[in-house]
Amino acid sequence: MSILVEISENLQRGKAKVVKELVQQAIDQGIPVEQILNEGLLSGMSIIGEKFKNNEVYVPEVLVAARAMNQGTQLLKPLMAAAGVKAVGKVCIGTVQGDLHDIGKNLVKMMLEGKGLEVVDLGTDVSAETFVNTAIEQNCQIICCSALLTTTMNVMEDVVKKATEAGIRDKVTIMIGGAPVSDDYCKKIGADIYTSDAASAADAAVNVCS
Amino acid sequence: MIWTREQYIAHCNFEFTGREMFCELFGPLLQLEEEWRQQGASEKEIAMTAFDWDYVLKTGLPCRTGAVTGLKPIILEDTPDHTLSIDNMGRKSLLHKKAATIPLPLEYPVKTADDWLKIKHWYTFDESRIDYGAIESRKALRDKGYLTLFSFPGGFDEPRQLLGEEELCIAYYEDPELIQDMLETMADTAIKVMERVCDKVPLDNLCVHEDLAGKSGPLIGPAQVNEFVAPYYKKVWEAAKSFGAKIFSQDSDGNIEPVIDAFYDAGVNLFYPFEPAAGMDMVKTKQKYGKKFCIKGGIDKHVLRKEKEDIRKELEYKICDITKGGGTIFALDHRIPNGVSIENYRYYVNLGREMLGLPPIQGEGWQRMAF
Repeated sequence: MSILVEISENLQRGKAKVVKELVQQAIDQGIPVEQILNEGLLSGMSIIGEKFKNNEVYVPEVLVAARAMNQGTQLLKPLMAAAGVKAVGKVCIGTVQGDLHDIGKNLVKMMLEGKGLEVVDLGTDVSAETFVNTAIEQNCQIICCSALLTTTMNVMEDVVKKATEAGIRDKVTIMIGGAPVSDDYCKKIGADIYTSDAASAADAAVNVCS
Repeated sequence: MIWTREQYIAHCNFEFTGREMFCELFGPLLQLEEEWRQQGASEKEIAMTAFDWDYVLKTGLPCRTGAVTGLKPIILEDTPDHTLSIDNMGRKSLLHKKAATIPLPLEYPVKTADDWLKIKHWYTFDESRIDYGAIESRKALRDKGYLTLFSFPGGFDEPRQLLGEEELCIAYYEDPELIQDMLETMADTAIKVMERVCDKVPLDNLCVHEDLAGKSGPLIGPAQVNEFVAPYYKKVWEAAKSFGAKIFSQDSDGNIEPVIDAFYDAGVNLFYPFEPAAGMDMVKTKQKYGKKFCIKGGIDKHVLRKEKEDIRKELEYKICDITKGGGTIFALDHRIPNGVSIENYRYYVNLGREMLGLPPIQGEGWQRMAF
């Protein structure tokens, strides 16, 4: 079995320590960094994402897989810049102001990273201004907003308005998700993309950036 | 209408009692009361009593099965917007008053197995968990027809309160013995408490709160339910049945479909609130499972914000031969959200009653039915 397949399979099983060892071995064998990333780590995370979307695995499996991926990417990061490996795109993500729920947002973040996107995590309770300012300052192509409460989802509309006021509306894609949000709501507030689950959000983000 | 214990238990167990049950589980969400006042709602409508809701008289048994920490909550900061506090588990928690009713922890007490051992005594049995002085009064209530409720800590929810969602999910893989020890301790205590109380006051309804799912599915899958939660549930449910319990109800928002079988096998026979916005469809579930378990809730609260025609369509779909005849407690799937007009709510209540074959509103009354 190829070492890259081994990396992918161990990542899917959440074997963080093994993944780290295998990634180091792959580096030592002179396998190109981009290949280790794409065919080992991201390949494994992509399979987990699909299984998650199909309810074949659940949050525990995603979390342990994401942690295993992080172990591998930590080794690769210092080598990636030198090798000229660039992220697929850049996203800022957060849970909107007034809302402290973060597991949905964190799952989307993991899935985005699993697709090779660079993610700026703004945490929870994030104001519309912070989303927009971050997108400008960090040159993000996508803003991802999460809300769990009907009482906080309105902040998503503020993000759309602030992006328009800041003159970046045509440069940034605004994605929304969370329990009370729907495709109808997305259209109503003038956001761009609604997805119902974390894996679909990552797929949509890749489409935007490619 | 006020239902008796016998009627309620029979209805939950698919024995048609001659009447459908139409309830309001939780009442209005924050902010809605003020909206309704501005729209001219009466105080009785705001208090829900004007709608003559169905409910069963109920009483909790005088005991505690969850964490007894001895810690008193402390408010660190209170502003018109938020309250920052230390809760009774010693967790720093934040409440955004304008958006939520429940504060959320910013940190958790268990990070390692040693942390758990330090606080394990919160969950071990002690006679002080039982209010022996209140047993006779509860027995008298039951003799009058009240339903008796016995709650125990959620098999997912309580470890989540201690570890946080993500750490708990990782612990299933990294430290399964920790989770097993937590749940074994909680089961042991729940059963000891039950043995002391329920030999004096029979138990009708075992209750557990989990809230373990979101819109895209449960946070844990059948594997975690079967390995960790089911053994815990089974122990407590077997004990509860020996004291007369006929209903084991589980509260979980979100889409629980992938874990319904696992929870049913573990003993749960009533699921609520069955949230349509998360994909829960009680008609399809009834088609699939028949009379295996009762569903409480299931009517989409968000539809009430739309047009009257949408409300009619929702009720026409949900109230049908498959759902009628016992085993369904028709109700909105959670609190009535802000943005629902009092006019639409009145329409929903009256149309729902009509479709269920209930008489027009005749009296007053409401009690929460979220249990």
